[in-house]
Amino acid sequence: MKLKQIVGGLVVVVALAVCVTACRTTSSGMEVVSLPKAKVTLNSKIVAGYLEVVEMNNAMRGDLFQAQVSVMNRKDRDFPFEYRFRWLDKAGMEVPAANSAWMPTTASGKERVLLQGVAPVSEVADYILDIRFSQTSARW
Amino acid sequence: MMMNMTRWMSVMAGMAILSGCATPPSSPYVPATERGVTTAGLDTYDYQMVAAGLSQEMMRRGLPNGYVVALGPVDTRATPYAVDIQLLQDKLEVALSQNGTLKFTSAVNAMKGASGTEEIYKLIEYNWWQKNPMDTEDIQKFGKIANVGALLFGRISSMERSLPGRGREITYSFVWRLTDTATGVNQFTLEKEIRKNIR
Repeated sequence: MKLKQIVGGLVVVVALAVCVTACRTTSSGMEVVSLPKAKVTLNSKIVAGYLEVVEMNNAMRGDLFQAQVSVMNRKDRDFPFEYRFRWLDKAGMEVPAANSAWMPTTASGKERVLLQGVAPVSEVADYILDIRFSQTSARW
Repeated sequence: MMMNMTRWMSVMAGMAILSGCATPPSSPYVPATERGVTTAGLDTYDYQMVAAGLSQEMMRRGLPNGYVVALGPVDTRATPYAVDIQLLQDKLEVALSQNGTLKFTSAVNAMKGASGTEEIYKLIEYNWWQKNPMDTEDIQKFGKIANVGALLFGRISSMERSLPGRGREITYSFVWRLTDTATGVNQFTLEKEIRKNIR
């Protein structure tokens, strides 16, 4: 009987350890790439379960590239998430941007959220949009 | 029965070891863009978000070309929390200057050794802090003497409420204005808000 309890306890500890590791992971849950062909990569089942990319628009604001990605919350519950635009030049090289930061936002149930970014310099021709699950406690 | 249990335990121990091995080792260095510890006060992450939000909005609206901008006064009296004005203005300057449309000068440097400019700057600052209407003549004079095309003013305020149960909700409001020193007209008035729930 004692052994059974020990084994049971061990199972719970392992399950918790795995769960804590998984829950703390704030890796990119979704990646949206615009060019040369629109591509959406889903890395997280949680993000994929909630968010759906509805539309992607690009425009030029003066000589600056502006991107807008519409995402929709498929579910009825609020979904807090963070997004970040990374900018690329024609050669696909990243253009470091001081105005690129993880921005927190929330999509209410069935809400369509428009995520916008403006490139900092005129050399930008493409972007990568990263979306990740927002956590109340950071991993650090 | 005993043998079965031992096998089970070995399997579980193996899984525990494997799950431990699958986790990469932690590092004392973390990306500076991550949120980190969140407090009721303004953190580096908040400054990053505000600078990114305000600069993106300015770029979206179109920056006036060829301006030399001085970082003007920032009124923080409407928030009880400490604000690192220099850090925020610096981050904003870095984000905007990357674009190359605006050129920045430090208001302090522009005033050094020129007591007349300093007097005018103090008047502008006083009016901004008192929420008085800006005297166009003062701004024009300052622009001419300091050789500055525009001034970037800021105002930071915060509102705090108790959350049901325990914890606090703090909403910071950042209002920034870019004023043309030749005309006294505001080129932009931008607002960025941050709301934090701290339990």
